[in-house]
Amino acid sequence: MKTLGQLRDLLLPIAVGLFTLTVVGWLWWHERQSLDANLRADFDFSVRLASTRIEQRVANYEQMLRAARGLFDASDHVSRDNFSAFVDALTQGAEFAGLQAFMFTRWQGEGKAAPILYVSPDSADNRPILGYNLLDNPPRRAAMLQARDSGEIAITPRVKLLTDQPDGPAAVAIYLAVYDRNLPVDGPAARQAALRGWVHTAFRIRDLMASLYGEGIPGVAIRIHDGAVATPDNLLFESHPGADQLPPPRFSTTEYISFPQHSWTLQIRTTPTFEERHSRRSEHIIAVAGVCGSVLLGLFTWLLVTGRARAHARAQAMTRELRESEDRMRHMAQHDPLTQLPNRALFSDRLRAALARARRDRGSAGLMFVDLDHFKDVNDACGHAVGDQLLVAASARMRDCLRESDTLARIGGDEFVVLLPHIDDRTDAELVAGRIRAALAQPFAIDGRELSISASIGIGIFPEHGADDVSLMKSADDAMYRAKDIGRDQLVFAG
Amino acid sequence: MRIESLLRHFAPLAMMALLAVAGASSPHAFAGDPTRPDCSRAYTLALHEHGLLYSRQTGKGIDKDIADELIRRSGCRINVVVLPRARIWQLIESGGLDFSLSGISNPTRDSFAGFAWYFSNKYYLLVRRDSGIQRVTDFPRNPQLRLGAIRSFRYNPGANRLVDALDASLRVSYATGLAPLYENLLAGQIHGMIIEPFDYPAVESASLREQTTILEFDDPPVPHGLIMSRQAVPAADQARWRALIDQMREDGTVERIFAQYFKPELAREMTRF
Repeated sequence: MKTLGQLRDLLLPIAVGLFTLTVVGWLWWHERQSLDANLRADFDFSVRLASTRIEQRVANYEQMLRAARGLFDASDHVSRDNFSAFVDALTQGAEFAGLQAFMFTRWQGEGKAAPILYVSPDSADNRPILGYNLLDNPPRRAAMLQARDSGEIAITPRVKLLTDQPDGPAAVAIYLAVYDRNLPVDGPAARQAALRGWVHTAFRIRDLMASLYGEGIPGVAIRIHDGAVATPDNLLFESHPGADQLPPPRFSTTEYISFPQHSWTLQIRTTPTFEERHSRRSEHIIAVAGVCGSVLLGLFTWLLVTGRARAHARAQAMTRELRESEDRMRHMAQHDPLTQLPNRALFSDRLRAALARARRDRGSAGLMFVDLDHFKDVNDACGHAVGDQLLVAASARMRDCLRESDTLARIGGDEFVVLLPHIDDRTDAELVAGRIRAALAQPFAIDGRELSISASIGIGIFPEHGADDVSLMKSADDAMYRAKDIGRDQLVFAG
Repeated sequence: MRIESLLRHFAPLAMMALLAVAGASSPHAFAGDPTRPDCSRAYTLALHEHGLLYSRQTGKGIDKDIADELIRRSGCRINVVVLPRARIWQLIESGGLDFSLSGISNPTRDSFAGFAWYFSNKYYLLVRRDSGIQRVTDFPRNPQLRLGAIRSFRYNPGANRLVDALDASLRVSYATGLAPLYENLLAGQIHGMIIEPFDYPAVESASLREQTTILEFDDPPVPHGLIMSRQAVPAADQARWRALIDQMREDGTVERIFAQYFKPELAREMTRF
């Protein structure tokens, strides 16, 4: 029953603790989901930003080429100075950053070279490419013919800038055909017939990306591949070389940017620094504070639930201690501390009670004074410690000679009294006294010594030797002294 | 005398009526007419490259024809540009662009754009045969499969659910055009993509037909239409443009345009909804 009660008391605190933990768990999960959602949104934003910026930048380049085509559409003759002045005016904006050069190449007819006629800026780096026949360069030639036939921009696959070394960084060129403004251009054949040349530009991919992002997007690695299927051979740009060696990314995706007849593949992944930008402190605070709070709340509930029971148990314990203390005090007040036998006070109470009962029942009671003979000699010879042990042993033997209802008490150093409340006549008392004397006559082995003692016993019988306790005590005491007087180790009746 | 008097009084009115009738054939004459679009300014309409809707390579497509017809009927000056679809929606929302074509609505788009429907079509899931997909619902169950999609495209409810679920687990590769998606589908980098009837010519190419199969979504056809920016085109003007589109549908112009690109039955099915 107690175990069941304890279980019941534990049930509520456990339930409260579990409920609180569940709420904390839910909060923690919600916070984690929220952080994950933020991370994902941040990543999505980075991806969209990357693709949109690249796309927009190329669209800007396209707009610039279309503007240059407009220059040629507006005039039958565009001089080098016209072209340079126009390009200078165009390329003031930051959105054209990264462009290496802006060129016009004249179409001289089928089977003839197509030399670069104008280049802007007309710098020392760019000047050497003037006159270069672009149709000799297969990827450029393909893009130029595509631009010619479509009337739209055409982007080359990965090439090197003409001004760069053969092992220079990856670059691409964009071409837009320029047509004779007086001829129709409503189909590939018409466009071929009306071709006047190309306006075109080229840029290194790393310059493009640097102009967009500077040092790059924190925590995000970008790879750009030329074409719709990414291979190591068509890598155009890598923001974090060796990103494959990093731990698996939290997020990664592939995005494709389409140009006319051409695509770029963007492989975008997070690096370990990506998550570091989003502190997870709140998540940890919720977890730690929540668990501690749940435990404390459970404990508090347990204290509340068990408070009454614990107070009751404490009161019971204190009451028991008090009762035991009282019993102990009463025992101490009524017993001899050495032998634990009733003392004179308790004995007197029992004697009066026994005499009252015998008087009422018209019965008899016996009272014995027992004095150990020559006990002082033992004390003197062997010491008080041995004497005390002898007293304890002697009282134990005398106790063994008595019935449960009889009382043995120690009233002096070596003086004992025995109350026999239920006797028929003096023979019963004599019998008990004989047993006591016989028991005491047996040697005692105490502390390695063998000690022999005897006892002088005086017996008074109620009512014949005394009608009350005082007179009966006196009669028995006198009898005991007479036994001592006649040589000790004697049994003497009062009277 | 009486007749002469009548003629004198009513001749100006009759002349005005005659001019009005004659002017009905000339759009410019009705610039102030509340039933005609307001042509007091130039508009910008963006096309996007998408199968038969528009190809930069050929400069032709359904949307180009619709745009030409809108320009002809309205008499307004409309600059036609070609932009990525995602950019078009951004510009429509901001008011940087007046119109686009072949758009579908959703609650978000309804908040910044008005629509004038002129056709509807179903959506299909094009999947690689070796992906083991039998039904649309098989696709999300296999975590190895990736979907290719055009960024910002929305579809019918079933396709939207599929794209959104896969996007949540980063299983969608986005592109600004269909060409890289077809290429990656053939290369096995993606395993499916959502297509519309405009994509049939590409899907019917030998290599795609051999390696892919088409699964149908259960949803009904979704209406597509002229997209009008709420920021740029006032509600009253939107109603006029909508009336113009309705007129094109009613007189069979839209169906005739579609019939140039699809079989007559499909053109009828798409434009009569």
